[in-house]
Amino acid sequence: MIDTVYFEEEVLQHPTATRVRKALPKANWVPINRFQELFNIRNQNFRIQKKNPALILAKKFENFVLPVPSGFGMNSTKNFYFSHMYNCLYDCDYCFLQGLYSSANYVLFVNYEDFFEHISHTIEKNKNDSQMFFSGYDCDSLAFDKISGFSDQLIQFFEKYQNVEVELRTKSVVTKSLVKRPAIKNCIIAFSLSPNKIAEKLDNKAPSIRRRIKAMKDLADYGWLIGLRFDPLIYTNDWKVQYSELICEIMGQINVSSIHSVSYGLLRFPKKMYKKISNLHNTTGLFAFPLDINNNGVTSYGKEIESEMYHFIQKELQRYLPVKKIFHCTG
Amino acid sequence: MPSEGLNFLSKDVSSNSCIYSTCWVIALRAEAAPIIKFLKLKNVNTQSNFTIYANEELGHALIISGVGAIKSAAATAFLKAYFNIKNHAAWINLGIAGYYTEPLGNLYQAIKVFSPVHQRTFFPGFRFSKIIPGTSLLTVNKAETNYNNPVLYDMEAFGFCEVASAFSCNELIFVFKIVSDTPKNPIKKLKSSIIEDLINKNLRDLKELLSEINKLSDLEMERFKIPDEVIEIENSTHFSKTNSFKFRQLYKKWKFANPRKTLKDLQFSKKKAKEIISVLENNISSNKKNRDYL
Repeated sequence: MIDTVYFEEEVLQHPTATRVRKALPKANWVPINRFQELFNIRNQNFRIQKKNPALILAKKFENFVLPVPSGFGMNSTKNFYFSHMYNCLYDCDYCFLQGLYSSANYVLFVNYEDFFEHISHTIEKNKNDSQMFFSGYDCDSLAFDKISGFSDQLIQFFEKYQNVEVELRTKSVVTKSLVKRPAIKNCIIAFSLSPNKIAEKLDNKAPSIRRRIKAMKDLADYGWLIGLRFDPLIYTNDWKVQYSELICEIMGQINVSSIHSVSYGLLRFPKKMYKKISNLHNTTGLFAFPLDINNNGVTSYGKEIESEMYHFIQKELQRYLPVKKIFHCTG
Repeated sequence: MPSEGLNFLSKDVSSNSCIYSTCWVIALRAEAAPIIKFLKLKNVNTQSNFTIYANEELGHALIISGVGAIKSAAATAFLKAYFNIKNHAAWINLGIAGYYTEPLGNLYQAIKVFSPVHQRTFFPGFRFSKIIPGTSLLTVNKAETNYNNPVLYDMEAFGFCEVASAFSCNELIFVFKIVSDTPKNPIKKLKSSIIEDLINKNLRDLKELLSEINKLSDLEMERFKIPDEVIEIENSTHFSKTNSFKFRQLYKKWKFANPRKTLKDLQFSKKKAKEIISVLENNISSNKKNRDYL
C-alpha cells in the first residue's frame, strides 16, 4: 500500500485529491511545490524506488492530448493518447517506463476535467476524421482505478461521443467500476497479454494470465468490447508453442464478436532507452538476448527473428479472427 | 568475521570493492558516541581537523562534521575522498533535531529536506515507513526556538544532502533525526549526556534500519560489481572506454548463457580488445535462438 503522498499544495482541495485522501487514510501527506522537483531528481535509482513508490498528486498544465507515435494506431485516421498518470503499479521487466522516467513514483494528475476539455477540442477539431483515443500509454488504465476513479469519469465523458473510440489498456482485473454500469460500444478494454510462463517471469506484481482472461470474459459477458494486445512479443526457445496455446485458450473463452481488435508488436526499444533499462537489470534473462540495433537506432530481436514471429503470430490469429481485426504495431 | 551481534551487517566484499559501504556524517561527538560504541568503530588518524572512526570488518565509516550545513557538506566530501568511497555506499546523516510537537526522543526519517536560505529541496532516501515515520525537515542557520512549522529543525541535513547526493543514488542518502527539543522543552536544556541518551534509546530502531540499508547497498554493489575475471582481462589488454563498456555488456550476456564457463575457456589468441569483443559476440550469437531466456 502507498505510504506517502506528496501533493502540490495547489491541488489539495481538488475533488480527486479528496477522493485519494479517503482511499489512503493512513498515508503520510507531504506538501511540495511542483511534481517535477521530486519526480525529476537526478541520480535516482528506479529499481530501489520501485520497492516502495510514493504517490505524487499534481496538476497538469499542457500536453493533455498528443498524437500517438507512428505505427501505434489501428483503423482510425486520427489517433491520440493522453496520460492522466505516469508510472504503473506493476513492474514488468520489459516496461519502457523504466527507461522513460528516472523515478518509479506514481504521478496522478488530478485535473481530469482539463483532460476532457482538451479531448473535446481535439474531437471537434478533427470531426471529419475517424478518431481513436488511447489511455494507458504511460500507466495502466485500470490498475489504480480504486484510488483514482478515473475510468468512471472517462467513460461518462466518452458516452457523449459515440463516433469516437477510446481504448483503456490494462493488465488489471479491477473491473468493478465497469461491470456495475452499462457497457458503451465505443470503449475498448484492451488487455496486455503474454503466455503464462513468460508472464510469470516478467510481469512482476501483475495479475496472472488466467485472471486476466477471466476478467476479459466477465467484461465481454457484460457487453464490453475487448482488445487483445500481444505487445511486446517475447522470444524464448519455445515461444511458438507458448503463444499458440495462449491464443487458443483466449479464443476458447472469448466470443469473437466481443473482440474489437487484436494487435501485436515485437520487443523494441530506442537505443538509449535499452541501454538505460538493461543497466537497471543486471541479470535478467530478457536482457541477456543479443539484440540488434537497426539503422533507425531501434534495438530489437533483428530481422530474422522478427519476421519469423510476425508471420507466425499473424497466421495463428487468422485461424480465429478476420484479418481486418488484426494489427501489427510498430510504434 | 564481524563482532558478535553485528553479523547482520556482514558483507561479501570482492577484491575490487571499497570496504566501506555505509558512511555516517554526524555533527556532534555526543551524537556519534553511541554509534561508535555500537559499531565498534576505531579512531583513524587522518592528520586533519576532521575526526574519523571506522570498522573495516563491518564496512562502516563515521566522520564528525561539526555544527552547520557547510561543515556537514565539507565532512561528507572529505570522507568520500579519504576512503575513496564507491557509489554503492549508503550515506547517513544522524543527529538530534527540534520538532514542533512532543514527545522528545522519537526517531524520524527526514523525507523532505528544505533550506529556506537556498530555497531548494531534497527528497532523500528510500522510505522506511514500516520502521519509523517520515517527516519534513528545515535546515536552519541557528538553533530554532519558535518551531512555527510542523517540521523537524536541524542545522546540517541540507548541506549533507547537497554533497552526498552527488556520490550515491538518492535512494541511498538517509537523514535520521531524533527529537531533542520542542516548544515545551527548548534547546537550552540540552547536555551531552542527554544527547547520548536520546541516541542510545533509539539503537534498536537504528539497528533495524541498518539491516535494511545494508540490503539496499548490497543491491547497488551487485549492480556495479565488475567480476574479477573482467578486471583481469582489462588490466592485461588495452581497452578504450567505449570498448570497455561494450566488453562488460557482452560479458553479462555471455555469462548468462554460459554460467559455468570462465573467460579463460574462450582462449583468446591475440588478447586484443577487438578480438575479445568479437569472440564474445560470436559466442553469444551462435546459439541464441535455442536458449531459454526466462
